[in-house]
Amino acid sequence: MKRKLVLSACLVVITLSSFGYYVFSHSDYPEVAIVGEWREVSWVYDRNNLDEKVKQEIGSDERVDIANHLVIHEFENWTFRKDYSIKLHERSGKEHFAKWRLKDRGRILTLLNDDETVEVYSVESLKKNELVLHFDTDVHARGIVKITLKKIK
Amino acid sequence: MLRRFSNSRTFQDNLRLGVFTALIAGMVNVASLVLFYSFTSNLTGHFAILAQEIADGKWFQMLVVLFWIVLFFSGSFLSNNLIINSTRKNAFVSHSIPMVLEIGCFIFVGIYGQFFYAETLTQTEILVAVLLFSMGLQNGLTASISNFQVKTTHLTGLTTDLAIHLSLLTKKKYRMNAQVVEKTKLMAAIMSAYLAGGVFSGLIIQSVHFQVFYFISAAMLGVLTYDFVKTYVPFYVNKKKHDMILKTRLEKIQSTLKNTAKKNGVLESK
Repeated sequence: MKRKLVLSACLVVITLSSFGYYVFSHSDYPEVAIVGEWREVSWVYDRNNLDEKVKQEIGSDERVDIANHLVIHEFENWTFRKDYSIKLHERSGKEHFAKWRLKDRGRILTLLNDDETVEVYSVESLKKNELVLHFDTDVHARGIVKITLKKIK
Repeated sequence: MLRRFSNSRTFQDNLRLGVFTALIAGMVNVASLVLFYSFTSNLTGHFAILAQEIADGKWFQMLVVLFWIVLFFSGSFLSNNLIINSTRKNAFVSHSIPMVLEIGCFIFVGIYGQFFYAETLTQTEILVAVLLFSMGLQNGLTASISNFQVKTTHLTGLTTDLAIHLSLLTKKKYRMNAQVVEKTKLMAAIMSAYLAGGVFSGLIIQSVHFQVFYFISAAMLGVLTYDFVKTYVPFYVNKKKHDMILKTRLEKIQSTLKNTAKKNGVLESK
């Protein structure tokens, strides 16, 4: 009886460990998929006003209003590197470097700036060529802003 | 707190166990939320996420959530298995093993987080898995030894039960019922302790980071030691007293026997 119990316990531990090993050896997929250069294609509010049938693009002035506490409103290109650094840049040559991390199975993107401020974005979807980020803004009643990026390379 | 089992537990035993473990659960949950952006003391959300991942066809993310749920399940299973296989003699030891394992998990997360954590996704998911296992152990232990009276990480059910009990207390008949009143007090205390643990963790986490897990482990070790002293010290003190009494009685008997033998010897020589 005791032998049977020990054997069953060993079997459970081996199965669980194998399952865990298999899961965690593949779980870095979002970290692999996000590496590369991305360009912003749109900034929209996730909720429309009643009279708006199509989601309204947020203009550059409004971007400054709602995201002045975030570095991202100043840049259109995002380059995620394998070493967990990110370069935000523009054609004019303006650049900003930070560190990126994904949390909660790749649903949260955090940017850690050199001044130790942390910016948190929700990863709504991460596909091969498209990255959709959400962030909360308390400036505007419509709340969540949706940023869509397309992969360049 | 851990010695008595099932129906032999008093209301005070359950209250102490509930408050202490709810404090721990609240602290762990907020710590993991701040450090990993993930809940670790409750599973309802994880089931919802699992369903969403299945619907979205994100298989590896789905497997991660499934593994987390399986680990929480394994923790509770292991706890209860240790308890139901314990005997009256080794009850304290078998009730302590889940807590010792839980402390081991917290120390591992604390040390790994403080010295090796590079914030990668895989590391985060493994540490969340360890915390979920530890919360499973705790929930299994508390529910099992308290005859399902105490469930410290089950806030949805607790809120529902508390609401039901409070509504019962609007009737005099139930206010006179000691069981209903005690259960209401227990649930209110658990809820408050969970919240207090969370607030405390939220206040200190930015300055102590992963070291919060050492603090939790130290508190748990303190409770284990207290329970150990309460269980074994009276036993040894009583044993010592008992041995002394036996020794005195034996000496008395021996001296009586000697005296009788002496008397008999004197009589025979006469």
